[in-house]
Amino acid sequence: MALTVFNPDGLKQRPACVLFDTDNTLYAYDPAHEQAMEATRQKAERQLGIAPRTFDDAFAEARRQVKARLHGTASSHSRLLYFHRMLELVGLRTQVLLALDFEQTYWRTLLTAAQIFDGAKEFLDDLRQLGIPTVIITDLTSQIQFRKIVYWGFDSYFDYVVTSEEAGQDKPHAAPFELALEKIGKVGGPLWMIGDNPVTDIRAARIHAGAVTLQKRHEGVQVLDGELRPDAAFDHFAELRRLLSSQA
Amino acid sequence: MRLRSALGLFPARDPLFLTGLAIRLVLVLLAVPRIHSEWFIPFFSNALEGGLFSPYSAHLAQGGDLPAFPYGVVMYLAVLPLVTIGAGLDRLTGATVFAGLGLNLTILLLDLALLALLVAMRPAAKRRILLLYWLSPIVLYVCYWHGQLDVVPVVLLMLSLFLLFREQPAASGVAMAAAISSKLSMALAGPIVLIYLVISRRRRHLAAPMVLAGTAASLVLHLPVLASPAARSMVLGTPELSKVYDFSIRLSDGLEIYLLPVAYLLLLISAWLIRRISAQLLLALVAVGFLVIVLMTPASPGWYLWFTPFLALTFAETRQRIVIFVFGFGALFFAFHLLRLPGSDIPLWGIDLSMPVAEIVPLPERGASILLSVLFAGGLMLCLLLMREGVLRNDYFRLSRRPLMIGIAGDSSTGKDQLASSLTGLFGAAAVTHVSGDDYHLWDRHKPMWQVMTHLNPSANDLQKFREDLFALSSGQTVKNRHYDHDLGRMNAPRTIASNEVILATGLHALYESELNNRFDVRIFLDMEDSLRTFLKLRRDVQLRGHEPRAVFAAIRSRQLDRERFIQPQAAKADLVMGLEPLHPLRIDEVPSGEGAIPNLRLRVQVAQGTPTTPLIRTLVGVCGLHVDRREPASGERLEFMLEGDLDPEDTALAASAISAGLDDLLDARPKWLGGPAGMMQLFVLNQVAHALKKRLLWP
Repeated sequence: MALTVFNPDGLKQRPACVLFDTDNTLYAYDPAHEQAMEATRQKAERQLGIAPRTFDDAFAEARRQVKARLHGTASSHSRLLYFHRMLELVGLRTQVLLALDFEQTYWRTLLTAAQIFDGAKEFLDDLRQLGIPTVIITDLTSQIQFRKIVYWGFDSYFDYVVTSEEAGQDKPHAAPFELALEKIGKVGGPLWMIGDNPVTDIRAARIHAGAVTLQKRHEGVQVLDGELRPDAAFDHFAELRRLLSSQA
Repeated sequence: MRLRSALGLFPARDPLFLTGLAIRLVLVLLAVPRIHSEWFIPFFSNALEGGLFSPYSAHLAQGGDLPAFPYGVVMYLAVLPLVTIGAGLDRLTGATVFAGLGLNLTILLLDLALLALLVAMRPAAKRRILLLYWLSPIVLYVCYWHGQLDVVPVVLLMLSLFLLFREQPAASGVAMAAAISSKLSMALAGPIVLIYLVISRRRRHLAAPMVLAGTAASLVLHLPVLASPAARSMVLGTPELSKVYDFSIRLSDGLEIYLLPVAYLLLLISAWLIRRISAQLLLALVAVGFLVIVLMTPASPGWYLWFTPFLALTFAETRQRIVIFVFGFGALFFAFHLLRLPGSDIPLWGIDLSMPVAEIVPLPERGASILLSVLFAGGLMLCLLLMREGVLRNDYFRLSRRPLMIGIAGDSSTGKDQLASSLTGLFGAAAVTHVSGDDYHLWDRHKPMWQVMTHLNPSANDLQKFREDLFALSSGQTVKNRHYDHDLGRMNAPRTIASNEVILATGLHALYESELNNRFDVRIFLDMEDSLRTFLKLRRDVQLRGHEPRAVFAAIRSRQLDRERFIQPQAAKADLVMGLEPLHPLRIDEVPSGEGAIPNLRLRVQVAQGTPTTPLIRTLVGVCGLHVDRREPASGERLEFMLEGDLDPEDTALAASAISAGLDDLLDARPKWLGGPAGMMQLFVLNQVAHALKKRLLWP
């Protein structure tokens, strides 16, 4: 496990500003999501007698429908809308209280189950000490992303947060990147983007923000070739800390 | 915990796990321990040939060795499936390796199950568990080189404790019976577990179902052994049992004092004398029990496996130097037994490594004994470290020395008793003694003195006895007091009140006297917005107690002066002031009898400066989705929070985990978390309790 550099020239200089994706970049999303779904599934079974299989099928269909309808917007990720539609699909019509309850069960389990990647906070602290501004640039609605940031105590590290809800479009659209650049103002040096997704983080940040891209690599993340290839890929944030201290 | 989330904890990708797994896989595939080929496999072949249902007689009838399988039915059943499949494959292919492979794989699967249990019991210390158990030279040697089956009883015993900690006593008893059936020596843990259950009021109710289920299961599991003479001679007649008597002090008249029973009894008696045993200390005591057996007998190497997982759990969060010591002890064990005992063949490569090393390279005179002496010293040191670690982490908050004292003051109808009962739900009814100030009113309700004095007047209450009783309870003594019956308006006959881990004192004047106030660890004042207080008082006195609304209003007016003079000033002495407010002010003239639903509420909380609140507030906002307004205090003032929003009991439970590690030990095994403002109050009280107890540790 080591830093894989694909474009050494891009990494010669220290960044003047660093953009971060959140989900699956600062913490492993999949295991936390799986636990959160399991908690919600169990609740649906306990309270409504919905069999886990029915739950999964209805949820998948609800998610597909919501995504198709709201494609590219923050609300297309809304768990509240997914659960709301799921309850309709299993034949219960609109159940406002249950949808809210399921949403809350999902998020509280995800938040408590999610583990911030080792070394991430230390890396953020290095950036803070070097005076390098940091920005979160993330899909989903502001309400839940802000709750995550407060819960993990990231509010004291990041200078700005841009959600796709306020930008009007999800990544890889230019809007969130443009809004981030507008918020930070002029930067005198390279801009870094740290994310896990080859399309929405890596390619999009390079095109829309001219960023040097670093991909967080772990289970389920693929490092691709061509224009989807990052300038570097890393497994552990300690590798970025070493990179930072080696740069002039 | 569902299987899926339990498996989510499993450190399957940790390099330490993968290293241990790789070593195991190599040994499982290549090594054939000598005791497998000489004893276990012949036993199972004889059973497969001569009678699956009477394996012991089948084995002896075919001339098998008596000591080949000195284990009970459960061990037989655990090993049977994969060995049978292996033997079938051997027969089909004409090979002689698959039965042994089946045995090795059985051990590996149980070893994995044991690791999963340990990780589930200490999820926060996975790496330590991997170091101390999964990579332990003792485990690797015993299971895969020497080839013993002790992992079967140990995994069952651990399962029994795991279930017990989750308050599933019947299942725990059955697992314990299965552990004992597979290896009699596991019974040594029984009395220690029983003491753990019986000395705690919180857990006493678990003892009977555990013992009953365990006894019933034992009868079923031991019956086949007792009924078969062959099984009796192989299992009960094992020479290992007589090792108990091997270490003794010979007295002049032909009598002996056996050291092992002495050491074990000493352990039991000292466990009995401890006033409070936490789960952590129980694990340490079981480890010491097994270690004592190993040290006081010519132990077979498999016995070292009994205490290793308990060692891992006890030392999971300790200093690194102790971990190095434990690892060193394991390495020494490994070296000693490699020298002295037969190991494995590697048939695939035609290598026989089963010969004890000392038979190839002779040791210098006394060499082995010196090595054993060092091992013995290490074992004694481990006993001391286990006791030290267990006792250090036991009773973390020193509750056995002095109860946790919580004082709750406030005007009537502010929810003192509801708060007391919600806290009782957290600490467990068996651990809480509740003293109510109502029991110290001087006169019954119909007495004439109440015409000239309100309950709020301190002189209408026997505050001296209130204070003396609480002082006595706080030093562990028992008191006698009357009890006020709200229905009859009269004091009942005196009753005896015993001290407990937590003393809750509620009352109009609970924080009135500074001497008593100093005795409380946590001082709480409950307040309530005026219109809401009037509404709730009307609801209680008119709707529930049948008083006239006019009389209730008159009482409220007559008490106003006393309230301002005697009750409200207590707020200044509290560490925590909590008060409910309606989201929108109530118009009492619209509900003159207090009918109708309780309006939507929010909670105002004032916390003494210095009490940590950030983790709790972050969790309430982040995880629970509450709206929290924070008001910055001037110097010397309290921090103030205004909390609004829905809170589920599940939210409360999760938020509690943000407060403090170590609180688990204080709470009931199944704390009753509440939702809404009552749940928020539970959290703020716990937060204050955690802070107070930490202060007590720092400045006892």
